[in-house]
Amino acid sequence: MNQAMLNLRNFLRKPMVLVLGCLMMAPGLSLAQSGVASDSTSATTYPERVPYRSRTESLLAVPGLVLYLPFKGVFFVAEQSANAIWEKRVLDRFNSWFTTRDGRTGIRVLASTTSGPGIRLFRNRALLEGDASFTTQYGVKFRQDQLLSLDWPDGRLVPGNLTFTGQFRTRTVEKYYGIGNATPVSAITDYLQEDGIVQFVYRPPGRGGLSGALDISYHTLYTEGGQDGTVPNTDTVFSQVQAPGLGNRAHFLRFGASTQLNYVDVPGSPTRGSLTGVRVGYSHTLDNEALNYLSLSAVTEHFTELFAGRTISLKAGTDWRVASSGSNQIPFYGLASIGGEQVLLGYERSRFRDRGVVHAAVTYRFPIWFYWDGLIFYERGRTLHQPSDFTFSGWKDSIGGGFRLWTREGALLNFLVARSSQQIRIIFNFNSGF
Amino acid sequence: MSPLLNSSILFLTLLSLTDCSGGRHLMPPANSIHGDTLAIDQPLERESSLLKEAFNKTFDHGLRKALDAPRLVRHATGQPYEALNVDNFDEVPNSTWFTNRNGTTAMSLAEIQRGPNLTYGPDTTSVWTVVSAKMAGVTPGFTIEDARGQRYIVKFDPPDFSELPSGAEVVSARLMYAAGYNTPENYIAYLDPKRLRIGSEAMVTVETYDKRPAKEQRPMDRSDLAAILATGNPKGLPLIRVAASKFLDGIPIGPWPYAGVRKDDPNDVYPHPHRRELRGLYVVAAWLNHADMKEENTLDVYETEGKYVRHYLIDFGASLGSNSRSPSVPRRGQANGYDFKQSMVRLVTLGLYSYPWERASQEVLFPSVGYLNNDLFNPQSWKPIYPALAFENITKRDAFWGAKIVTSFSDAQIEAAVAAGAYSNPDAAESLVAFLKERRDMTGRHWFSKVNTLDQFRLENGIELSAKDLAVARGYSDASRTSYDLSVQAPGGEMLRRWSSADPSVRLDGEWEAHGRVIVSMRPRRQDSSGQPVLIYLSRTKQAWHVDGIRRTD
Repeated sequence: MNQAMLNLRNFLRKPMVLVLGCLMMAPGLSLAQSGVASDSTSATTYPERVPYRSRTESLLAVPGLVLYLPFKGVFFVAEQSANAIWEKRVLDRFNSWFTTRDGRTGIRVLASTTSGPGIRLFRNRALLEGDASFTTQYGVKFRQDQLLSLDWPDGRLVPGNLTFTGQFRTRTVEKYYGIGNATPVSAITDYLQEDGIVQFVYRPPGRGGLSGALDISYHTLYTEGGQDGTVPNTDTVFSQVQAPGLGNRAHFLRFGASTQLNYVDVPGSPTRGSLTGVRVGYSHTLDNEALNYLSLSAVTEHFTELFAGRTISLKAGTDWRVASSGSNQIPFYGLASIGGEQVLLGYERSRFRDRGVVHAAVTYRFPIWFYWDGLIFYERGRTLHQPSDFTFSGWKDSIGGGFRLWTREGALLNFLVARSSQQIRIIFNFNSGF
Repeated sequence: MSPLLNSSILFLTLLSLTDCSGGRHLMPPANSIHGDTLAIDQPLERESSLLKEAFNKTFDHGLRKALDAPRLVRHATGQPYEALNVDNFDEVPNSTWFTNRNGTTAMSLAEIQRGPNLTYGPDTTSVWTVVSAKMAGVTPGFTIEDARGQRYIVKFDPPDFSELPSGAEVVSARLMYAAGYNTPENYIAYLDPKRLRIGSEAMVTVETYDKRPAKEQRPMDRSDLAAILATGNPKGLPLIRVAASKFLDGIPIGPWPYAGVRKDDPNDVYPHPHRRELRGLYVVAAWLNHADMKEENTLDVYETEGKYVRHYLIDFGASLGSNSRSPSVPRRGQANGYDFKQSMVRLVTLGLYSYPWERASQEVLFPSVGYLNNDLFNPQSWKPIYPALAFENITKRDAFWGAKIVTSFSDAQIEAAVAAGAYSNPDAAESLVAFLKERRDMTGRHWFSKVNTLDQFRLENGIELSAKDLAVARGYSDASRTSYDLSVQAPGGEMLRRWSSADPSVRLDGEWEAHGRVIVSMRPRRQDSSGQPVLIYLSRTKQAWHVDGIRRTD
């Protein structure tokens, strides 16, 4: 019997085929004949493969096999995908297609719900031996980012890490609900903001610790309320009285200095330590000096491991604007805001604005398996017109949870669901590590 | 499925089970074991995908088992599928998979220490020629040919954990070999970098990371050798300790599968999940904490002389207290690589439930032997990194078979095996010996409490049937607190005698000769045993009684 016949016989012995064969074909089909090998061993008679259960039991297993088949299809697809990624290294090959042979230049893919899909173009050991990258992302609805980054790792230019960032950001549909903590959802309108940002970040040698940054940015802003029929302009909200700085086009410069204290154990998934950042800024309006203002923000997050990787983080922050001119006005686009991205994830981006915001969050994170975490968070925040307005009433809440995949360096994938009184939001973010 | 269909399936399943149980205990076992050394054509080389294997074992097989009604019913009714390749004495005959060694006849200390080795290892008195090298993978290393023309795979220890994987490799291989499995010849050797020469046709496999293809081979040069030596010998020692694994005789044809059979090997007729030696391997692997039981760590070799396939276990660098490049961790042996059940428990409880291994600390007293701790070890709940069907099919009888082998190792034999690891720190070696002894005893105490531990049935003077109680003989139970329920039945089921005794022995009565055959039942009675009777089938010829076989009813 040749190899093809042997394979056919093995196939016919599979329980599913066996049962179907018994049901559909003539009962005289013999599956018990002895097998013989080919070629040089053709004269040898080999023993039959020994079944581990009776034919009756094989028949009784058929319903389970039928139930299993759809899952087998799913498993097959998942297995092939995983196999392609791991064994065939499809992602690596995909990356290699978009990387030069010397590995210095290439393109990577990005995606997130906040910034939309995008690409990152990199060039290692570029200017002054630094690593350069250019990122462009096109948000589905409201945002486009172009980010140029030059990073000089420790020692290449100076002791420690030095990063230069230039960014051009366009928020095509920025929503404005008015000022204060009690602004209704209906009172929204849109405006466009284009920002050019230049930033230097210096991190001294050593692990974590202290880092500092200086930034300067140029912003140009175009305002046109009520352009969407479904979101009519609301004069009382979007008027010069209620929204200082309103005009067809505004231009301003921002200068800032920030510092960060980073003392966490695992940057990608901290279980101990704290992160604290403080930023001081000044905004200079080129069109109307009466709208100049100072900004001060601080945020701190402390991580405590409860047991075996289960971690509670407590985060608190505040952000303030102080008018530096006699008019005592802050332009509406410069107000401190919360919602959507960093705080109160269950709300839309910058849902609440005023001269000051305070916020706090508690997050419980637990390992599901290796680099796969689950997390639950609860956030509270509110806006304030002045510090003396602070009360414990009128705070906005957001609660949610989700999963994250991470590496020691940072998150690879976040998938979160956040709920607020406004809506339920689904948030995902693929890091360029993918 | 409708309840009616469900009920029908259950009924039919139960019906199908009854046809194999009624009255069979009155008949002696009649197992016919097929040999597996018939000449065959050389099978094609089989490739294995680690991810595919992990995926299949973790998800696919798990669901299939969950939907297999006959299997579920069998487990629920305490009648799991027993191993297929056992003889009439519930033992595994010698085969290309397994050879009865220390489990049946105690090996000498010299034999234990030598293991499968036939030489003293690579010839260190002359030049080693590098014939290929690997710069990809977990452990960089190369293949050398010594002056005698023998080829070895040479692996380095990690700089921070000198002796760790090489010691584990050699010690585990010795014990696995003595247990009866096929392993390659492994040696601790000392490499002199000055005596290395690159062969004219030497190729190096490099991981190209983000270029294409993912791995590539190219001619090897001095810089490649220097790079490997820099990794394996960063301190620039004049002599480097390495693990040298000798090439197996024959043609390697890839790993053997844990599921099914090797279809192009006509000798391979017993489905691997139903082979006793692979089911029992669970107990041995748990003892050695050899959790890295993946297909890649197995190898089939086509023996050109006999023209059949021999099946090997290879690569033990991640066993005992070693995780190959670092010490083992508390998780090893406690959870699968991806443990669906444990991850779901953590997910559902939002992480509030934690497993003991999560809270255990990794304390390493001696870097050369790694993390040695038995606090969490349970011989029955130990888990390999990748689930294996054979391990999941293990029955009490399989486990007893494995435990018999594990507990057959004496303290001196364990010390002899550890000595083969050539640890430079005697205290480290001693801690490894203590680790293995403790695990051996935990294994014995655990499994021997679940089964009838009577074994080694002998008929002396033609009329004295005796057995050895392994739990007592190996010190896990007290002889003074053990009695034995004994009975003798005629072939038709008639009870001829029933009594209790302090010894597991039966003097065969002359009156019973008229029956031609009798069935002797023996069962230890003690507080810490839940074993069921073992039946010994005897037949009478003209001159004497003969033991035809035994049947364990555990």
